[in-house]
Amino acid sequence: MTILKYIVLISFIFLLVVFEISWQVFPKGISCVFVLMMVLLLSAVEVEATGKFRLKYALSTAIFGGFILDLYSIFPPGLFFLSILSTFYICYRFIILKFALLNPAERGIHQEFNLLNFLGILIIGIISALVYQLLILFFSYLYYFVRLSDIKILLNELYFANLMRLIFLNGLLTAILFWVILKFKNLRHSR
Amino acid sequence: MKRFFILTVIMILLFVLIFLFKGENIFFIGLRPLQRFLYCPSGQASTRDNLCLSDNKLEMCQAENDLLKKNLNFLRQSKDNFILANVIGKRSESGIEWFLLDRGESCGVKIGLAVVDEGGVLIGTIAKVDDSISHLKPIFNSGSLISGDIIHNNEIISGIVQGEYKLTIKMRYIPTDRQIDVGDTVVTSGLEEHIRRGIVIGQVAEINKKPQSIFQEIIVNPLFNPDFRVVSIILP
Repeated sequence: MTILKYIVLISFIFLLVVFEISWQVFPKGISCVFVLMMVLLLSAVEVEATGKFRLKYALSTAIFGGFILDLYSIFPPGLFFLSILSTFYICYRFIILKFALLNPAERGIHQEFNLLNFLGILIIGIISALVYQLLILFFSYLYYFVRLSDIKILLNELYFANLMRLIFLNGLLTAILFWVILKFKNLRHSR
Repeated sequence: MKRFFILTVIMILLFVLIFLFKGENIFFIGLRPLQRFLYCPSGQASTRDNLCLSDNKLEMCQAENDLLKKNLNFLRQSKDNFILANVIGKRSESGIEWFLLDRGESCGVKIGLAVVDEGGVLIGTIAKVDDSISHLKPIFNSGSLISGDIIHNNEIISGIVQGEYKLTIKMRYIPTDRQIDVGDTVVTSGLEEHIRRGIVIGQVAEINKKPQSIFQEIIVNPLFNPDFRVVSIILP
């Protein structure tokens, strides 16, 4: 049953990437793999707080999504894989576990920064999207300096304007999707 | 620890199989028909939708036929060796945009080859090649550089053509004492290894001369069709 779930997940990721690339109806800049990985990660953490552990689906999305993004990338292999896997680790260890799941008393001024209100989820989504974009920038420069790639991301006004748009779009989409899932779960439990 | 070890081995195996032993071809070839079907430039979406809605397949074939004929007409006239390729996707990351073409190394595509539209106007160059697909970097991308010439009254003026903000093309490093007029044609200079001289890039749209500067800057109006679906890769 677990293997079947993995096959479905990987096929879904693959189709998602193909649709994102070839079907021009998605808003420009939305990274479906990143959003899916974040939604699965947040869902896993939310479930984990109640005692279960389902981090493996988010991790699988990061691994296979990274591979598939690298397949269709102009950059050398590994850039998206490393970026999304590092984003997964940083978000899980340093953003979600360090802040979002702390007791409210320990949190101090960050009372609102948790996984139970939309603003908190939105902030986590935006910070994670920023981390992802910065890691892509970091690894692209690393590849450029070790001469694995001759493509250099130019840090001009366009890049920064684009960065703002991307982190907001991806962060917002992550927050909306997770919020919908959360509400749906609550509704099901209340019944 | 055991799980981590198994996961690492799986990742390394996947990486080796996909990227070193060309396992990627399974994905590319298998999904090519779906991608070709799905890809439609933003400007043409409504046209295609209308055609699908009215089930007018004949009209669609006619349009495709016209497009291919235009490509062939230009290529026959110029006597270039070429490969026709379909655009199957478009991606953008951190300000860099690229298109996916359904022809790769197995068809003779190499890095640096020029890609033109049905009118023979330069769209960009090949930036990366896999066995069965290639990646086209358009000329209007920030960081795209190509040497170009302006033809003015049978005089050739050279400079560097550079994409800017994915919107315009600028030509730089042209001495201020050279006379250029709006409407002059900008072509490739042939200094790149795989790009021949004389492929049209665009027309001079604006001339920026600063009194203290030794170079003038030209804004070039690109002439390629922005809704390209079929392109020609010019072979050396």
